[in-house]
Amino acid sequence: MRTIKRIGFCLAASLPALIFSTSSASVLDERALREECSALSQAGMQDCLAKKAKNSQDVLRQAEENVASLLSKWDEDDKYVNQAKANLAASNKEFVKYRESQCELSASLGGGAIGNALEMRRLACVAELNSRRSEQLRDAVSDLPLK
Amino acid sequence: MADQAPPKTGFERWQDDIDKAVGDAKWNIWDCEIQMAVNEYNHHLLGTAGYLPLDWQLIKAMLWVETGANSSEWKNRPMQIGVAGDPGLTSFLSSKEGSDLILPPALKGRLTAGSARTIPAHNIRAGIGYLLMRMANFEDRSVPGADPKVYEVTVKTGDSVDKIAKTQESTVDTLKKLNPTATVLRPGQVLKCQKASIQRVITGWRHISATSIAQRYNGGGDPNYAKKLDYASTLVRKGETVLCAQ
Repeated sequence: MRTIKRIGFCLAASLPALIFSTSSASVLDERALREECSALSQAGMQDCLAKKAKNSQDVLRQAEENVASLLSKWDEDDKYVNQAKANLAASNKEFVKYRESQCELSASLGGGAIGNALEMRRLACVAELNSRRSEQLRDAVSDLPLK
Repeated sequence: MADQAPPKTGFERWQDDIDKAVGDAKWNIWDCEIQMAVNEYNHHLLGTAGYLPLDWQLIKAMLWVETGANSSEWKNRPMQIGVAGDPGLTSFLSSKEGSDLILPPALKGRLTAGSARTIPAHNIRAGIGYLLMRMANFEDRSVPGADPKVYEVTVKTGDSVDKIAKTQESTVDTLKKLNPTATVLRPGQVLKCQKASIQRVITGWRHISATSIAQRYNGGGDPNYAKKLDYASTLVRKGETVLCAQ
């Protein structure tokens, strides 16, 4: 029961956790991502960040599928497994909404800059949040007892 | 064991690439277009609220930072304004933010969202225009109309200064200035009036520097933008300049 409470908390309440989570060495924040891509021109930077956002999306999709698959193998009563699966689905949905508004905020902090500069900010934000979310999902199920 | 050199930063890797631009003719293909465009804007804005002529080499450095000859965008959108859904280009072309004061008359109507996205000469002009719009300080002011005549109007029941200004095609500011003692209106009172309208005017300019361009054109999107622009400016000034027909 304690385990399911922990998973429920980690998945369904992931948004505040995302905001307050300490940054992990493996996840670069959005500024560091822009710094990395800064080896290129502005046009190149946008492509570079678009790739990072796309890769982070693929990794996140994989992490979500992995959590769902581990939950199916979880050594727990069906009732709790189903509850955790429902929480995962709800949490995934809420994360997308949160990411959208948070990254709109990031873009808007570029003020009246031209479009590609605003897009760079948005893409870096998407890449960072996806990576953090992937890591959070991996951590949430890392010690799940399996059947 | 020898110490390993720390990995190069993004900026240092960018420098390695841009250093090769000096002396490479590909990087100078827009020189004449930039000079023409900058001259058009300088000619149009000279004498406007202390405008200082824009340096075309700074704009060339911007092109190097924005795209550069190795970018596929170099021959379409060298100034990078006008990516899909770019609010900057839309606001520049809408005239709502003061671009009608910035844009030289010869460009009005010719420069469109479509042309700025596809014709490099137009992209350069849209980029310069947008930069200047972002560097100008605007204010909405009461400006006298073409007819300077001061005439009289009689206050009617239910009139207010605002209402009279609207019906007489004048402004509240003008009415207050012409009638400083008329704080309370009474029917039958006679007021002086003059045609005027509220118009956006340029009142001054921000200092145009690598830092202000990084803030106002790039919005901090590239954490190294100002450094890059300073560096590119130095290289541009070191390099050769294409001779352009006057």
